[in-house]
Amino acid sequence: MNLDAYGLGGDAFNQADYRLYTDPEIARQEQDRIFEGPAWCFVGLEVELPKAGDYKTSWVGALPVILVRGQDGELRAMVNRCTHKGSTIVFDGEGCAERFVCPYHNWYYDLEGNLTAVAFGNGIKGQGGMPAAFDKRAHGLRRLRVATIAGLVFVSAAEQGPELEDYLGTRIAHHIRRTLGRGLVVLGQYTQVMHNNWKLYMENTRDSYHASLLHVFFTTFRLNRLDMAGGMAVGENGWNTLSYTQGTQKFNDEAYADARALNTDIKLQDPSLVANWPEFEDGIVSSITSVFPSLIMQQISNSLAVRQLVPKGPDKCELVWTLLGTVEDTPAQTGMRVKQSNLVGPAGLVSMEDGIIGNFVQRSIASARGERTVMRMGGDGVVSQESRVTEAGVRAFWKAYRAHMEPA
Amino acid sequence: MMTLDAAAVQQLMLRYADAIDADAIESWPDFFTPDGEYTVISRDSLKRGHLIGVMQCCGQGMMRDRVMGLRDANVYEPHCYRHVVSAPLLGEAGAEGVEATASFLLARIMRAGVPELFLSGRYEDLVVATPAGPRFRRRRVVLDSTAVDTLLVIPV
Repeated sequence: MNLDAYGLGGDAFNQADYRLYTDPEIARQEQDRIFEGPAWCFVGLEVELPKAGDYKTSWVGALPVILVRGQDGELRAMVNRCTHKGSTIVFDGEGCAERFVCPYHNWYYDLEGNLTAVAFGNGIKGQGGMPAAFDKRAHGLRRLRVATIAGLVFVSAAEQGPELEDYLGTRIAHHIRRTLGRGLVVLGQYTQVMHNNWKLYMENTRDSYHASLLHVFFTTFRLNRLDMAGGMAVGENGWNTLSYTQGTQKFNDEAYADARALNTDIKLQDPSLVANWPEFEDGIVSSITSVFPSLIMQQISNSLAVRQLVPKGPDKCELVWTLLGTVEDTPAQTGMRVKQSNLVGPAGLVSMEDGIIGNFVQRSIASARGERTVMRMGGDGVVSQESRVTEAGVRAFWKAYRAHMEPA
Repeated sequence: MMTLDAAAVQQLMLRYADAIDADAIESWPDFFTPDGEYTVISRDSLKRGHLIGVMQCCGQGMMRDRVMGLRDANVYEPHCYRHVVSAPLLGEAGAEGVEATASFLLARIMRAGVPELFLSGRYEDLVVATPAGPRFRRRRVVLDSTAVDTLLVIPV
């Protein structure tokens, strides 16, 4: 499709027409070109499927998928839609199975998605049954490519596309391994329903400009301010981003003169909320990694989480949070991760605003005709920056978006 | 010290809900002992043995920090709650206090629009007698769903 009319021509990626967030036809094309295109979509964690036969269901955009560990230990992904009448095959979310059976007419599939049997396929007492020409091999479940990094499982619905490592970019792949490349433990899981287009949330996770302005809890307690050392790293292809904060620096209250008035004397009654330990040798104390179009990996102090973004039509999306620890954590470290988890999620003292800010946009743009966003903070480029007062990461989102929606 | 019969436990539960619904959130920590624990977690997470739900406060200090965030720091649309809480089921009274459970439905009312069913679930409490009256030593809010719509800022 031609995105020039939506402000996404040229090389700047510094504006986007509001109709991109509201048009059902755009949403349909995104399903074809992004989610079922060559993009790598995050669908779960290896630790969720430890043994042969373990399965879970997930979503690749609007496409329902089954993720399963085969008897050979390999992870496979297939569309959760019976080839007979389209029924959902696996409807219990997760479990362990030797085969999948469609509840509607009992079509049987093995863990590789091959159709192995059809109930009454030979009829009963010589009556009924499938025609002799019916070839089960032609009716297997549609398979998706699977790739993993540091225990994260990605799938791609396109038969061909970039390798996951190239798709992520060197710096992003390194940071994912650095953060999660250990024995992982799931400490919690919940879903946040948001009434906004999925792109508004994905942009938000790359928008280091808003962090200390909208999320005042952090700023008030001087946990994360843009005058702390940090930056925005963009992967080689300009699609995926890493926003990070490195240690603390002298606070610069003057830089916040234009921001909402802050009570800088405010103190936590229970500072154990933010008790932490230096977990990473690189000194990065906070980082948000955003992988187009569906993964956000979070390290906020010692609170580790991955978030899977699932669009639900043009004006709704769901965010599946998985809070993580490691097998090496001491009980004290686990306790700190638990307390710090109060900062994140739908009830997160730091992040709860992200649950509504997308809807603040969505509700106001329903009537927009031709107006466009302005994304020019930190210049117009899509390159790494040593400052977080930038929208370079948001521009990177739109660069990835155009690369998929309007391939060269 | 007063005894913890079903009527006393129910009064505590109802006063708690009434205070929150009346926007007297500042009094919310006072329904707990100083070391009281308050968690909000889904029944699915409990089944899986998760340590983290959507909210976990250990002690009144963390609860007061939540109230401070709600009043002074966090950005959200003004809204209020309406709790409907069932009569409590009392468990066995132990040396620590009495365990009690109750079901709840919670409507969320935004500035405009109809009341919406926001959450449903069950309180799982440990109630103790104190010189000031019954207090929650532990209040675990077990949500029926794993999903939370938009955000959760006012305690349940």
